[in-house]
Order: sequence, then C-alpha cells, then structure tokens
Amino acid sequence: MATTPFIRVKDVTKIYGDTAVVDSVSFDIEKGSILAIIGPNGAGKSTMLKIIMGLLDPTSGDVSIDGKRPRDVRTRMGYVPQRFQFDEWLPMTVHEFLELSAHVSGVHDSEEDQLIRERLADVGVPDVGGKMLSQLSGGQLQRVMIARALLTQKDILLLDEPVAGIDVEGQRAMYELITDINREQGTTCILISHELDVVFRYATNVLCLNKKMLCHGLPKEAMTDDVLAEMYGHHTAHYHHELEHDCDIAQKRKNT
Amino acid sequence: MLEILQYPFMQRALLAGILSALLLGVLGVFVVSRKMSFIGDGLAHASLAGVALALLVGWAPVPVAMVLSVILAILIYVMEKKTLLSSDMAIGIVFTSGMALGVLLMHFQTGFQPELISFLFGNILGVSSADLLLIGTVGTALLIAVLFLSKRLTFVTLDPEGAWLAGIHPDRYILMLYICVALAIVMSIQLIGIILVSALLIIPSAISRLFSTSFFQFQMYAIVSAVTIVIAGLLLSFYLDLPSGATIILTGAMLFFLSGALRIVSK
Repeated sequence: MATTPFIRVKDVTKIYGDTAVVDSVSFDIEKGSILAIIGPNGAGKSTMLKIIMGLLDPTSGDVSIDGKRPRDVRTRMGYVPQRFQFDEWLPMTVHEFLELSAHVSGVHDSEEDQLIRERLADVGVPDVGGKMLSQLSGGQLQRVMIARALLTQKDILLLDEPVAGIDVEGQRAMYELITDINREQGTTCILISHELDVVFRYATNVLCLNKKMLCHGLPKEAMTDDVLAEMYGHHTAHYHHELEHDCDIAQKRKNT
Repeated sequence: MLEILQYPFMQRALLAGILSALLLGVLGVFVVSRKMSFIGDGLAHASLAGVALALLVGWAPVPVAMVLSVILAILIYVMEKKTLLSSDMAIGIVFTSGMALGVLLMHFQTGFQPELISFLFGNILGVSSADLLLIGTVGTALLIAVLFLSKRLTFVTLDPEGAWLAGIHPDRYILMLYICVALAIVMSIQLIGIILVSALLIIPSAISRLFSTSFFQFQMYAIVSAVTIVIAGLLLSFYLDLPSGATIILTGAMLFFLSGALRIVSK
C-alpha cells in the first residue's frame, strides 16, 4: 500500500498580477530528508517556501503536510530567513528575541532561561544572550535564527539561503550544523541555495525550479547537464563532474 | 497634600493625564518600532470630525470621537492591506479627510466655540467627571490588554513571519494596535489637544531609546518618561497659567533635548 508523503505539493501555481512566479509545481518530500531548492534569482524559490509555510496561499493547487493544511501545522515548522531584517535602531537582546518565541510557544516562564541557554549553546553561540541583535556578526545572527527556529521541537526546518553573507568557514560550519540537526533529531529540512556544491554535499533530494519545476529527485540523478543548462542558461558540465565526486563523498558520510 | 491636589479639576486632569501617559508611553514604543509615528497625528487630526459632529448635535465629544477614531483606524488598516497604498499614504488620506470633515462641520456652528478650541489645543479644565469615568474605564482596560499582550505585539512588530510560525496571526495584533492607538489618542486630546497629542506618542520613546540597551528598558523608560512629562507639564501649566497641551509637549521636548545632550556628553 502506498504511503502518503510527509509533505505533498500538488500542482501549485502562484500568480501575481498576470505573472506566474510558480507554475504548476508538484513534488513530495519524505520525512527526515533534506530537500535543496535551487534555481536562478526570481525562480520562485522563496515564494515556494512561503507557500509551504502557509504564509502565502497558492493561486491554485494545494500543499499538505502530514495530511493537513500548512497553516494548521505551522507551529511544527522553524524558519531561518536569508537575512533577518530588523531595525538596528531597536534595542533588543538576543535573550529577549528568543524569549518572544518561547513565550508564544507556551514554554513555562521558569523554563525559558534554561531553554534559551541550551539552544544558544547547541548552535555554538553560548555567550551572546546578553548582546543586542545589532551587535552580532552575520554568522552569529544566523546561528541565533537557527536557535530560534529550533527553540521548541520542530518537525520541519525551512532555510532560505541561510549562509548568505557568511564567510566560507562559517558557511561550512552552518551546513554541518544543519545536517547534524537533521540526522540527530530527524528534522525534515527544506533549504534554498544558489550553490550546486551545497546540494551535492548536503541534500538528499533536489528540486530545480525556474518558475516551472525542471527536476526533482536525487541530486546525482536529477541534476543533469541539460537541466542545469536549461535552468542557468549555460553549460556546467565540468563543474558537474567535480560535484559528482563531492556527492559520492557526501553519500558515504550519510551512510556511516 | 500639595495645594494643587485640592482642586477637583486638577485631580481629574492628573488622573486622566497619568493614565493617558501610561498608555501612550507603552504604545509609542510599538508605533515608533513600526516606523509609523505619523498614525498618531493622523488619527488625532481626523478625530476633529467626531468632536465637531458631537458639538454640533449636542452629544459628548469624547465618546463620539472614540467611535469615529476606531472606525478610521480600521479604515487605515484595510487600506494598507487591501490596496497597494503604503501606510503613510493611507494615514495621510484619513488624516486630511477627517480634518476636512471636521472643518466643514464646524462651519455649520454659529458663534465662538470655546470647547472646540479646548479640543484643538488642550485645556486643563477640559476633563469632566463623566469624561474621567470613561477615560478611566477604557484606559484601564486598554492598559491591561496591551501589557498582557506586550510580548505578542513585540513579536509581530519585530518579526511577523516568525510570529506567524509561532502560531500568531500578526494581522489581528496589528489591527488591535491601531485601535488601541486610536482610543489612547482620543483619551488624551482634552488635556493635550488634537494638534499636539501625537508628540506624547513619540517623545517618550525617543528619550527612552537614548538610554536603553534592551527592549524591556525601552518600554519602561518610555513609560516613566511619558508620566514624568505629563505630571511636570500639568504642574507647570497650573502654576504658570499656560495652556496645558503646549506646556506638556514643550516639557517633553525640553526633556528630550536635555537627555540628548547628556547622552552626547557622557559618551
């Protein structure tokens, strides 16, 4: 008997004005997987993510998560934006910022401090609780955003280019952190990235999007030269060959 | 007891003023954080239509202005959400339309209208016992609601997407914020006046920001500043026999510039 996938996106279209930013896209996501969504700028990646979050309603088609509407299970999702836009003028400490989520999520007042300390330690920034958000570096802020997204138990983690503006070493550490969370907690991750090597190294599945869905499946199988050429408008054959090597390494690491 | 507190009108003015200051102080933090300081001005000026209508037909001005301001706050919210208008455009349209309607209604009243002048510029004698009862009831309910929902209002102000995923409907809280601001503004127009009242929404937060290093401090300092400004302004107004609205706002402005200077010197 066929099982219902954890997340099902069925024939989703989103139209703004008379322009379709997402056009008849269908795919499934298995529980515990890491799906990377790739595509050029303006391909509809962030829109797709917001539809899955229930923040946007599709013009047609539907999304179900565990058989329910996204808005009805949204508290089971954590979200890390590309770059958290906040007003640097605002005085708010990291602890206060995380406290907002804890409070709304129903964490008891007496447990909030401990929980926040633990999550900050989990993501490798144990000492930033008393700092103002405006005092954090880009990497620290993204780690705080992951701590916020995972403050309470989440089944799904959505990440919209989570390493934008972070140095190379910080990027690697961030992706290792995400794969650790996926492996240890079984959290299903949906990750938007512009970098093909990230897909091969860290994702179990890939969705190639350029308004329409161009591919979906295992990165090594789905991301053919033709698909990449169609998506980006130029050939990426040599790069692709090198990345396949990374993919083999990543697969070995996942298997161990 | 201070001599001033023996006067019933002053007791009413102080009670109404302190309650208004508490509310405007705490709401001001959310308003300036959302970068929509203009909403205070817009709703205050638009409430002139309610005051003028009430005076024309012989009703109590404050309740009528409250009802009208809430309707206009909802209208601003709907215009922002359902049209492509920006917040300041929606507020600007409501601001000028309400003010124009108020001027038109005033046109149909004959003779000098001292009560109308009081509402425009504030009057220490303006708060009646009935007004105080209304302000006290509505103000206390609003203050409790805003303090109880403070973290949720902060969340939707700072991060609406995060708030949505935490299970909150940000739009509902933003609408609630607009309605609270509308009611708090109207509560204060008798003392401070339609023209100047929005300053009490902004100046306390501006003073507070100079010294705060957390959001909690930001809120607390804003409330303390607002109450200090209103009490000091009312006392000065009484002893110097000056118009209450202008005196309160100039007291606030002076406190802001002194705070700014202190901040610069202490750096």
